Amino acid sequence: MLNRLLDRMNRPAWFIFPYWLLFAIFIVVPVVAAIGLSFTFFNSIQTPVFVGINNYIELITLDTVFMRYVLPNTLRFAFIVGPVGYALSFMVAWMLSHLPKTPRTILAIIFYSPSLTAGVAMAAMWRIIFSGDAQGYLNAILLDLGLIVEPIQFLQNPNMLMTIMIVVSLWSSIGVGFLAMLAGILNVDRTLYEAAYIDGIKNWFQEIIYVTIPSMKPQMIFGAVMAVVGTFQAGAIGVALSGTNPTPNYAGQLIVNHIEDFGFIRYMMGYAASISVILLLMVYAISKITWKFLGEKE
Amino acid sequence: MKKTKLTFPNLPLKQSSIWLIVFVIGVTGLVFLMDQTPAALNQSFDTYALIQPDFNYGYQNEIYGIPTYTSKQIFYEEAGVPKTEYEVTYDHQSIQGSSVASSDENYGSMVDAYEFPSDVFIMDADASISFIYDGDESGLISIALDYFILDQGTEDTKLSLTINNDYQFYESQTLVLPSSWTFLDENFPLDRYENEMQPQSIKETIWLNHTLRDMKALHAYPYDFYVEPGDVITLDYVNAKVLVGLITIVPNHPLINYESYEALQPNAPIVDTLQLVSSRSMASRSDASIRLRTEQDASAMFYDTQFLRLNTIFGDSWERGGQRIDYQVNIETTGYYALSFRYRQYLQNDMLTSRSIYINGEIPFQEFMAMAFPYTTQFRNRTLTQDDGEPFWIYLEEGVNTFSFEAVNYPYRFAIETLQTVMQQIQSLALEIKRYTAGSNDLYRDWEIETYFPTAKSNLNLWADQLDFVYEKLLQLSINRNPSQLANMKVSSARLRTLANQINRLPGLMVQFADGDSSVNQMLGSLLQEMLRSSLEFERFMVHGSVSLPRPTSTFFRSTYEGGARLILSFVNNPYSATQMNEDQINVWVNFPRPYIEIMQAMIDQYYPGDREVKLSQMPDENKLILSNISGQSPDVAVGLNHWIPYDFASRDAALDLRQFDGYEDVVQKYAKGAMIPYVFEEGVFGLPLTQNFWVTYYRRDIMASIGVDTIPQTWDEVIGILPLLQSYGLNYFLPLSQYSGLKPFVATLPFIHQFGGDLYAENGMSTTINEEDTLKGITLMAELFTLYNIPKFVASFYNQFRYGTLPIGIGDLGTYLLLSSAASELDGLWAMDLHPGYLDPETQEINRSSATGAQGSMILENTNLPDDSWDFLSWWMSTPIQSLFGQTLQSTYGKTYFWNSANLEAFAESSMPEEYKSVILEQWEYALEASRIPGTYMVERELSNAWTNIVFQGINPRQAIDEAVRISNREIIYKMAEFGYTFQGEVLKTYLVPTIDNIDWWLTQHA
Repeated sequence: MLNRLLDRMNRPAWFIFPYWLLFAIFIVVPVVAAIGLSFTFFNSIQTPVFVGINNYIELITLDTVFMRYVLPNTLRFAFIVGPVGYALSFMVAWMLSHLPKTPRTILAIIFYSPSLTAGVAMAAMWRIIFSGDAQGYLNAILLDLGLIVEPIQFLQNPNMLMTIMIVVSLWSSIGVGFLAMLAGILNVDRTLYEAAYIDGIKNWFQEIIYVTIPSMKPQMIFGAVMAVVGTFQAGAIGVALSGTNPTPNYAGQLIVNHIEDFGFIRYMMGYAASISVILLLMVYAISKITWKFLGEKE
Repeated sequence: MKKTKLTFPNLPLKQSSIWLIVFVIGVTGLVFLMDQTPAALNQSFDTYALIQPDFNYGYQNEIYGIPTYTSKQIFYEEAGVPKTEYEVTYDHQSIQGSSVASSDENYGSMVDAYEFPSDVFIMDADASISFIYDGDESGLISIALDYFILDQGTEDTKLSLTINNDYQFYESQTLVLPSSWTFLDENFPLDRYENEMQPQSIKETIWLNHTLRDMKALHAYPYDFYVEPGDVITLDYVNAKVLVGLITIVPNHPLINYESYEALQPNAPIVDTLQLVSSRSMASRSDASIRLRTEQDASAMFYDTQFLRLNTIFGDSWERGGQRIDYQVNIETTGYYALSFRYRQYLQNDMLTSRSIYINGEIPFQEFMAMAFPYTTQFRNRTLTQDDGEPFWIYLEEGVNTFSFEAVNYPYRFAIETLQTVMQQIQSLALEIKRYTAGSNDLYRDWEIETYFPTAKSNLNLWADQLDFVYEKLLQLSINRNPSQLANMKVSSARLRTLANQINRLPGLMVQFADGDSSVNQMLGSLLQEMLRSSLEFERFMVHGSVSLPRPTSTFFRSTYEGGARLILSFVNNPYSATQMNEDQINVWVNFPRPYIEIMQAMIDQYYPGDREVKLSQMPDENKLILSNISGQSPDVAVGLNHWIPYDFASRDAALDLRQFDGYEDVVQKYAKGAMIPYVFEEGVFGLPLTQNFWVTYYRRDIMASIGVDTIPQTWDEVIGILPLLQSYGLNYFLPLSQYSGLKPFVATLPFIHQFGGDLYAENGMSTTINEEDTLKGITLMAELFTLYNIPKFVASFYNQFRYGTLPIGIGDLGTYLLLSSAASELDGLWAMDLHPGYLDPETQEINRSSATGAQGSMILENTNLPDDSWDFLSWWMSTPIQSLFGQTLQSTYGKTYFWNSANLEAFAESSMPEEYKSVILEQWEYALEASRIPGTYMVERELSNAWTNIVFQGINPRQAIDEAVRISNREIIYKMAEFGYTFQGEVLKTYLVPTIDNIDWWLTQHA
């Protein structure tokens, strides 16, 4: 059978073989392994024990932290940071596209760089800004202005942590989607605008709606999927800001943190794997929905 | 075919060879230019002029009511008190004390070793030594004594001196007697990877002579004591047992200058030889902390491409005033020699550090009192040179000559004293102002500072003037007009003037004045701290005539070649890697930095009596242990794990129960019982503590005294009692809870449970009991300290705030101690340690001070094929003599900062920590109590933290918050217990035995 398979592989197919190999080793195997582990009890030291769909049942029926904090937090975080960050990326890209080449390149690098800096390095800076003693930048400024009399515990207070996480994430949300959109906008055929004006559009808003966006659909979809997927996978930010996993009162607990909590703190790898399978499904569903909204409809 | 443009035109042969030659010459020229021998740094600085300044500057008159030596000196000079010319030696007939004869069983041999046949005196906690000044005239004397240090510890040997039962000056409370340390082995041992290790040092057991002087090396020349006929001079024990022989009153005259020195031997020739002396061939040194490092440059002596060879004094270890290194050099021809160093001084940017240079035990002339070493980040040659460019010619006689180099700060003394004074005055003005404003820093409120503090404005200007004056004087010590090292001083004086101009706004500008990172006080503080560091490293010194010196760096080609060779070899050499393991060896993974492992391995190779070879590897990280366990590649023993890891391994059958081994009981007796608790799982004990932490009260003596807190709070009520006073000055108290911004771990929350008589779990282990009445009281207090009493909720660094003086009292651990004792030299003597505050039981009147102690531990892994050998090794390693030796070796090799907080209490008691702190810690450890662990412990820890967050931030009633925490924790415990077969579907099948301080004894016995 292998022989027949090899026979059927024509020579160009060999060129794609390295990709298949890497894809299999680094994507397929881990995903399959995770799905496999999600049906076991695995304490990361002893051999896994098969438990059927027990983990999924527990996740839905027993895990109050997941239902009460993690899921709402993740959705709230994703639905704010995703769309707002996406809109922000588009706006910045559109504005930059109006600049001459040199300043545009420089500004693009500046806007893009926050998303490059690793979450932790970034949070180190934000931790100083939001530090809860009088030396934290924001507290120091507010104290100086006389607006507050004692430092606010931005990172310890459960009521504030989520807001700060969102602010920090938005700041770094101008990422790879932004670059794609910038390229897309610059690639729009200039003559289309002239044609559109002859056809009667009147302002730049109509320009965006009727010309720019329809001409750069692929980039728009790419940006949207990246934004949504990215926010679901975000997890480092809350832990990096508050300094510990779990975050105080689970206020900044996202699914990824929950996975780490079970996998590395409670030694329940199987359960953690089942949460990650759920996360995979969620991301898949959301990206499908996005596709539905923005995709080509022919 | 289309003609393409060639990148290089087709040149004819002649033209191309010309281009080639030009290219080669260009490259060679460039390399040659880059590769010039770096110029020698031979500048001369007049440091002596600053040693005994003839100008006025700011200095402290007294500290804690005792005059400073500087103020005494100035007073003597103004009053014209003469130095006596009286010289006399006091022997055992004229000295009072507890005498020791050569027949003494303990010290007889030392008395015999003394070159003067006379009885000597022992000075210890019970016995001091005194004698009567029998001269005819009153005046200033200096005192020298012969002594023999009996302690082997790395701490300085200190004594104090009183005259008629009075300390004449502050510094006379702690006079240091220098020790003499030598390497145990002159041939440096190689570790098993053929890299050189610094051999252990021992204090030489010999009689030494020392003239009492300032061993912080601020005051040049021996101390002057003022005596009148008949005065009783007493030497007192401070921290070390010493034998004292003859005591001499010696003259204290200024040194001659170089001109007079040269005139002593007008006819001696200059000998044109060159003798290189590597810094590693030291004969002795005054402090074991001074250590060698490897300089990987091909021009260095003893350089080896593949292996590490020690060849340079490490600058960071040779920066404390008074640290001296001695060398013995054999001179073949009598005559004049110059002295050069291949050195690097990377600390004082644009400024210099200084060394006293002793030839055969004496500084030959003034200029050598504080020889300057200017700033350079690369190794350079420096010939000690006069201001006319001619070297200082030193007259050396044939035979062995001793060269000693002592780190000194003499030229900076006036600057250091001014900085200290200004800082102290700023501190006290700030405190007074805070008392007036009740610590408010509202920028928009109007204060009448000028009315209430009429001198404040002029004082600020005065301090600014003082700083400027000192700055101007210090410029003599720099070749740069704007030394970057001193920039803080200029900024500070400008800041002080600005503040003086808006003096009424000072309360709102405290951040610029006395509090916080960028305040004047902190800028001066960090400058002061750096000025006190006299760092210098040198690779060799050279005794030579008028000859040219070898270049201080290797050539471009050589260093390129060596760099390449080292790069390739780095793939071959990989010491202490965890990848190669041998079945027949005991494989040990150690979770410590390399220097610790090197010493540990050397000690094992030398002393371990077991049959098996022990191989140490550096643990990459703790998670690797889990992975290695899955893949079957795990080591036999893991050392230095966080104290909660063995439990996690034990409960998954990955660690060995130690109670099965012979000798278990003897080993565990040496630990604090409370420290064993986290290693208990079911009926077994799966790990041993390795190190132990402590949580104690640290406080600033100066600040507490000046705001009028004279007793350090021992109970929580007393803590609450001093808070209003502290807060009225804008100061506060620090609790470890505020250093964790997210989850508050057990170390921070446990004291509030255990001290109040509470426990974490019910006896059967199936629920938590943190909602019981006692515990609730503790948790309420834990929250109220923040909500009601306003302790800061977040503190990024207690150590820093402690230094700034904004949190002058608080609870800290070993880390705080290490920082304070080694890094905060400006706080020397200004801070102290006391027990952890506790809960005063109203009935028994006893204070329960329970606090956490968990640090690091060790365990044997289940997969081991050598369980008995592993236990043999582990119990040997944790035995008192070995732990004690390890602690000593670490410090005698790497210096005082490598403090080993062994969990073996006997070994800790023998450690070199100063007695005043050690006794506090040992007493605190009687209250040592670590959290017991059960399946689901993490949820209790977490929910305790969440409860605190809910009470403090959400204003939820403590009872309600705790009940919620209990509900969630209990659910998790029952759930988690199922994993281990204690419960099934919510039903309890059997009880889980929870270890507590009351029943831990049961686990401390061997399995029958």
